[in-house]
Amino acid sequence: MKNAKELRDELAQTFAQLKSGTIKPSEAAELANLAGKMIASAKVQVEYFALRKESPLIQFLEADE
Amino acid sequence: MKTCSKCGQSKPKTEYRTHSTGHTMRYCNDCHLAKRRAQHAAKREERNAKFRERYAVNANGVRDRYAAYRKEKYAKEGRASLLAWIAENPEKAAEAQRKKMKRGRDRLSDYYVRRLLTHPERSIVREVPAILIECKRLQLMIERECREKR
Repeated sequence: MKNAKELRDELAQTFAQLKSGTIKPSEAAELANLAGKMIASAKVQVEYFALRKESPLIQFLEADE
Repeated sequence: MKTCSKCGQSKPKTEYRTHSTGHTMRYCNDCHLAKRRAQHAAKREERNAKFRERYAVNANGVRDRYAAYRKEKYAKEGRASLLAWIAENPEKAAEAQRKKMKRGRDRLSDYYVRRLLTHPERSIVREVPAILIECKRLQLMIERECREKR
């Protein structure tokens, strides 16, 4: 998962699989936990640049072209 | 002069309403007003319930009209009027905020998820990227589903 778009797609797929029963709740929970950490990391980057009053491109939040 | 059959006071005829047929009413204006007010008060809850029903289904766009009015008022008076209302009604404001957060928690609204990511008063970030909000929402949905399945 190189960027947020891929993370979102992966999470959406996991949710669909969880609803259909294709994967176990424990596995889905682990993925959700990992995603939470990635989101928190991106959030820290956003806050860091906001405090520095900069607005560079954050690679993780940019979609692949 | 005419005597009111309700209060028993003798009052000039100008104190009595006239029916369209020309007949003068039995009750004086004060008694008539008191009676109408009592009738109005007695039906208040029924009237309010009907309005709440119409508001809930947005009959004839009533909810849209109220929302447009509030938006216009906010645009004219700004945040100052809202802050003044909050200062005057702290309990109502707190209750409204609790209801808003509960609605947001149930629906995982953008407002709720954004607030989880960055607190509006403690954080300097004003614009949270939409993609981050979507990812966080999906993460919360998966966690809720896992909790339900356990």
